[in-house]
Amino acid sequence: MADLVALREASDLIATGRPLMVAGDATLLARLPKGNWIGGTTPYFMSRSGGIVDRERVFVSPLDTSVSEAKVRVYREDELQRMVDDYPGNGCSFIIVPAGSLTHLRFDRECGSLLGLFNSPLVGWNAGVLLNELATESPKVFDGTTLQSYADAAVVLHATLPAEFAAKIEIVNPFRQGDGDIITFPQSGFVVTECLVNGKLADFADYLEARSIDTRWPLVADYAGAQINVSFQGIDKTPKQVRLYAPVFEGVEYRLAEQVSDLAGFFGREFAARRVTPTFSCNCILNFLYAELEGKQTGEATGPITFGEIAYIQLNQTLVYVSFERMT
Amino acid sequence: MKPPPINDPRWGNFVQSEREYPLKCLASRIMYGQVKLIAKRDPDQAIRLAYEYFQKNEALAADDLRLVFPEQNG
Repeated sequence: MADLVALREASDLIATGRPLMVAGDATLLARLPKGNWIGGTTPYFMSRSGGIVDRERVFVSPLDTSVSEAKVRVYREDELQRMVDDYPGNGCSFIIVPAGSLTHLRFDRECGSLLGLFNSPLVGWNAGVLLNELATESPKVFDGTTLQSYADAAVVLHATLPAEFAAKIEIVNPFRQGDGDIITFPQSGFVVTECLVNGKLADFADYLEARSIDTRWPLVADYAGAQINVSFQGIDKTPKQVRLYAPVFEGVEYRLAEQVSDLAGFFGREFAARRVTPTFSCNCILNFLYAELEGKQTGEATGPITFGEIAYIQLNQTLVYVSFERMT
Repeated sequence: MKPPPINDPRWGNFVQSEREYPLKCLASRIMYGQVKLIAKRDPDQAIRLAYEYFQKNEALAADDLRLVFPEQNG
């Protein structure tokens, strides 16, 4: 069962050979034994007891016993196509990438053009660090088979499932497109200056400030009904620009998100309604902060609190989960 | 249900359509959002991406495939 556990318990679980995702402080991950696991750094968690900041324990997400084979691989930023080529014939690939690394940025920009990206489920998260240590510490990912850690690579666990099972990735996004302006961008990227507001050229920083936009709420794109967020990192005066936690893409129509009341309660209610016990789930650090999730519970949706989420593509401010379902 | 052959002209209609398909599966939705972007610059790549998606995700995306190609039997 996925939860925060002491190092000893995590080590015992690793010794069973069961494939695992592990999250925690780098010093703890470095003390785990070799085994069939991948790990990433974060000190923030949604445990069974509620949201918590913890540097004494690690969060383990054991993969379901239906997994027949698990292969751990490490991919540098120029090897992401090989990651897709290594997808299992039937299964799910679990990925962890350090937030802000070149691998992360390249994945975000180019994932949509990786050939075969959608041919098999890809789910995961961006590793982070304690927020007040951002200036001095780097997020890391761990290959549990070698105990090597990386500040700039993707670790991936390719899990094979028997033919009668399928991995199903879902998201819980509290944000939907509002009914305001349609915003597009003449250039894709993480840093934006110009935008088009209902087709008319404008400065994006000026647009946000003139309307006193609350940048806790993201931009939202509509992908055939799936609401996909792009979160605001900051608005700079010199140079005048808007920084984002994921790239916006040329040609995509965005709107600012509708206001959400009771962000904290949303996740628990929504997850309870879905009646699913996921094999892995994670939620965004921005949701942890803005919904003040420390001390609050979100039902069966336990897991690391992450600095970006991955459900085939990069997501922001979203709860992501995967379950293995027996297909009839 | 198997997807139609990749050279079926309906694939071109699908990737370049203005129609909003009520796709159920998250993967189908995200795939379709990406495919429509790619189709603006490279329709052939978009078709290949969509075809392979439905071919490799038969169980997961069966309902969505029937939605897109309702007249397909198999």
